[in-house]
Order: sequence, then C-alpha cells, then structure tokens
Amino acid sequence: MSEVSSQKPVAQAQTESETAASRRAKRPLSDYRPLIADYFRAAGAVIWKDLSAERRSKELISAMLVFSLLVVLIFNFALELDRQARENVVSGVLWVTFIFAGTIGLNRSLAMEKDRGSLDGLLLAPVDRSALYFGKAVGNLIFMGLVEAIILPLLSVLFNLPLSHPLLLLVVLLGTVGYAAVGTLLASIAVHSRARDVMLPIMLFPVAIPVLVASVKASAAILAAAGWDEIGLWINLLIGYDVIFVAIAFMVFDYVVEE
Amino acid sequence: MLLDETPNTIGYMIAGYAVLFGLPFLYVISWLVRQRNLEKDVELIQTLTEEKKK
Amino acid sequence: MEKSSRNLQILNIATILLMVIATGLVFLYAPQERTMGEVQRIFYFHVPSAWVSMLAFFVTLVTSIAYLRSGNPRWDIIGRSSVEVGLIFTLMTILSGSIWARPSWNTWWTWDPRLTTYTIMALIYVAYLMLRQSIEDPERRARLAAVYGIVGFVTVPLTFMSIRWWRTIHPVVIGSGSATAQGGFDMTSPMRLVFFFSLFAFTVLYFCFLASRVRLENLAERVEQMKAKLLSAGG
Repeated sequence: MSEVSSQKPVAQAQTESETAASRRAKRPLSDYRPLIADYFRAAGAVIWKDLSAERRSKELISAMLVFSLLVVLIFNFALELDRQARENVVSGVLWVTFIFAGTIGLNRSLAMEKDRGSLDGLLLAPVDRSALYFGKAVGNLIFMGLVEAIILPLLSVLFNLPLSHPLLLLVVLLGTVGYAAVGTLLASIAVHSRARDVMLPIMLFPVAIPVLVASVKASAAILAAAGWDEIGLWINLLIGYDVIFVAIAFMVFDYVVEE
Repeated sequence: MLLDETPNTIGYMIAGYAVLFGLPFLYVISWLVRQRNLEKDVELIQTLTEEKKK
Repeated sequence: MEKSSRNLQILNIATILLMVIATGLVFLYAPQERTMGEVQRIFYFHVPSAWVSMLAFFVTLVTSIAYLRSGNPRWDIIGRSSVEVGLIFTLMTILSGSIWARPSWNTWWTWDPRLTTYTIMALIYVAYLMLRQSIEDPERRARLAAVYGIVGFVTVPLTFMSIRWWRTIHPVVIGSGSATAQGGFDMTSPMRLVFFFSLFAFTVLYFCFLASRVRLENLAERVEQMKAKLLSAGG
C-alpha cells in the first residue's frame, strides 16, 4: 500500500492549528497555507505516481497512440476524400480520434487504481478527497495531451492541411480539459460497474457532446478562417463547459469514492 | 378552395395519436404484469418462510 | 397505507378526467390548422409530452442531490422511477414528433439542434438505467447513479444552449417567429387554450405515473428485503 509522504507534516500542521484556539477567532491566511499546500502536494503525488508508472510501463500511452493511429487509418479508408472534402472533415476526424483515444486512457487510468488498490492508500491521506480527482484529471489531461501532440502533426501530414494555428491549439487544450474533467469523474464511477469498459463510453459520450460539438465547430471555424464572432462563440461555450464540469466534479467526487 | 390548400393529413394524425395513447397504455399494462409477478413472489416467499419454521 | 392508496385513487381519477377533457379539446374544439391540416393536432400532446419528460429528469436531479445529502433511500426510489417515466414520455415525444414531421417537413428525421439534443438526453437516461443494472451493491448503485443523474442533467441545458447558436428548422411556435423556421405556424387563442390545458393535464399525468411507479418500486423493494431475510435465515 502506498503511503503519501506528506502525512507527518500534515499531522503537525493540524495539531498546531487545533491547539491555538484564540487564533480561531480571526483566521489569518497563514493558517490556511499548510492545508492548501497539502492539497496540492497530494494532487501532485497522484500526478507524479501516474507519470512515473507510465514512464516505466508505457502501457497507457502506447495503447492510446496505437488506437489513434488505427482510427486515423480507418478514416482514411472509410472516407474517400478529395481536397474539399478533406478540409470539411478534418476537424471532425481530429476530435473523434482524440475522444476515442482519450476514452481508452481514462478507462485504463482508473482501472489501474482500482485493481492495484492504490486508490485505498490515497483515500487514507488526510486530504480533501477532491485532491485525488484533481491529480487523476490532470494526469489524464497530460496523457491525452501527449497523444494529441503526436496525432496533430500526423493528421496534418496525412490530410495535407496545416493544423498549427495557435487558436486551434487553444481549442484542443480547452476541449481536452473538458473531456478529461468529465471523463475522469465518470470513469471513477464506471470502474465499479460489472461492464466497466462498456459503461464508460455509454455514460461519457452523450454527456461530452457539448465539448465535442464546440471543439469541432471551433476547429472548423478556425481552419476555415471564419470571423471571431463564430470562433469566439464556440470558445466561450468550451470555457463555460470546462468551468461548470470541473466545479461539479469537485463538489461530487467525494460521493463517488466514499466507502 | 380552402380544401385545395389544406393537405389531407388525417392518417398521420391517427398514427401520431396511436403512439401518444398506445405507449402510456402499454406502460400501464407493464405495471400490472410486474405487480402480479411481485405479488406471486410475496406469496412464494411467505410459503417458504412457513415451511422453514416447521 | 390506507390513506396513501386513497390519495392515489383520487389522483388517478383526476388524471383520467383531465386527459379526457384534453382529448376532447384537441379533437373537437381546436381549429384546423391551415397549412398542414389535421396532423398539426399532434402538437397538443407532443409538446407537453416533451416538457413533461424534461420535468421528470429534473425531478431526478433534485432527488439525486437529496439522496446524496441525506442517504435516505426513498429519494433514490423516486429518482429511478422518474427516469423510467421520463423515458416513456421521451419515446412518445420522439415518435409523435417524427410522425408529425413527415407530412410537414417531408422527412422522418432531421438533425436540427433541438431534436439532436433531445435524443442525447434520452441516451443519457438510458445510460442511467444501464449503469444501475450493472452495479451489484445496492448502496453504491444508488449513490453512483445519483452522481450520474446530476451530471447528466447539467449537460442538457448546455446542449440546449446550442439551439440559440445554430440555425434550426424546428418550428418556432409562439408568434410568427423567424423566417428560418419552415413548417412553423401561428397560434390563435383557441389553440393556446387547448395547448395550455393539455400541458396542465400532462403534468398531472406525470405525477400520477410517478406515484404509481414509486408504489410498484416500493413493493419490489419489500420483496427484495423479504428474499434477503429468507436467504439469511436459511441454513
């Protein structure tokens, strides 16, 4: 069982603030600093654990990458594309690929936690449970981002279209944040289901449709060099979605992992 | 002249209302079936409990 | 127990009465609409059915939050019953809408934003039921389903928002709306009366269905408990 290394300083910080009853009347900001630091330390521990595990085994990234390449390949055969069609379709293909790859990553990332029992160890840490969610979500975001960083130039070459516009990269980031945010939450639910691999896509795809739609439309608008009116609209929707779902995940995650 | 303008869509209306009445009706029937099954289960369990006591 | 089944009976009778009157209004009082003929009458049940389905899922949102905060399983029973009832109304809405669309828009289906988001909503709640089916432990099942019930509902207005930002062919009902809405129609005041009465009747119908479904579910729960007692006492 993994122990969070921050347990000793946390215990100290807690007794310090408990015994100072007079300080309770007006809580100076310095009282909160240890708690906040522990929160980010715990989240950081989760992220670091995932990244180092991945560096050793490479199972997540390889699965996501191989799957994305296969998806791109299948699209190549499934869609007969002339130049005009390629331009119309590339943002859709892009996002479908990201979403499929992301789903695989989400599934495996949460399944690993449950199967190895590392979730229990993390739950014992005296930190707000949402730190776990934060750590997992950022980890998933990083993995998706790595895969996207590879797929984006690849698609650019295969479709013979430039895909490096900074606004496009912003949209990819925002869309991935939204998808990782909802996806991590729903994956931690799906992991308890008998049909765990099937349940995640079934739950996630309908819920993530606003992200998908906004991302595809924004990407298409950017590639077609549309005006800011249109692009800004979709980017605002993306940001709104991200904020809403991150907030909900934070509020609700405790209930998912309570025992 | 008005009849020329307005298309005859009664068939579709009937189909629509067949659905709008039919589905709730079937749903209510499903309750009755489920209720009967559950009541049978209750009886069965009660008889089994009796037998256990003996 | 006696009192609640009395109340249920009263609700049943009131519901039947209201639905009979609504039906009468639709077929005997409402005028014929000029551009599409008789099929337009479907609207009087189709739209309330849609609104009521969304009411049902909103109720599930409320009960999900209540369940998470209180842990009282009664909330969960109401929530899952409401999802089932809501899905029935959803199916009614989609099928009746499609039948209405065929003569009015010359197509059985269209991917306009409102229809699309409505279908997505249906899929979310089908997923809710599937999720419940796939979790063994009853307490965990209720808890996780409640979380999904919240998440699922929140996406609905977000997808609804997309309708303002897309062009749509779904009819704009009140007023002579936008030129982009083909197959729309203006509502005259008799039509308005029939519509709002029908909406009221459907709302009562929903609560009636919900109450009956909850009753059935309570019975099912009791049977489960009896089974558990029997099995544990055995040996």
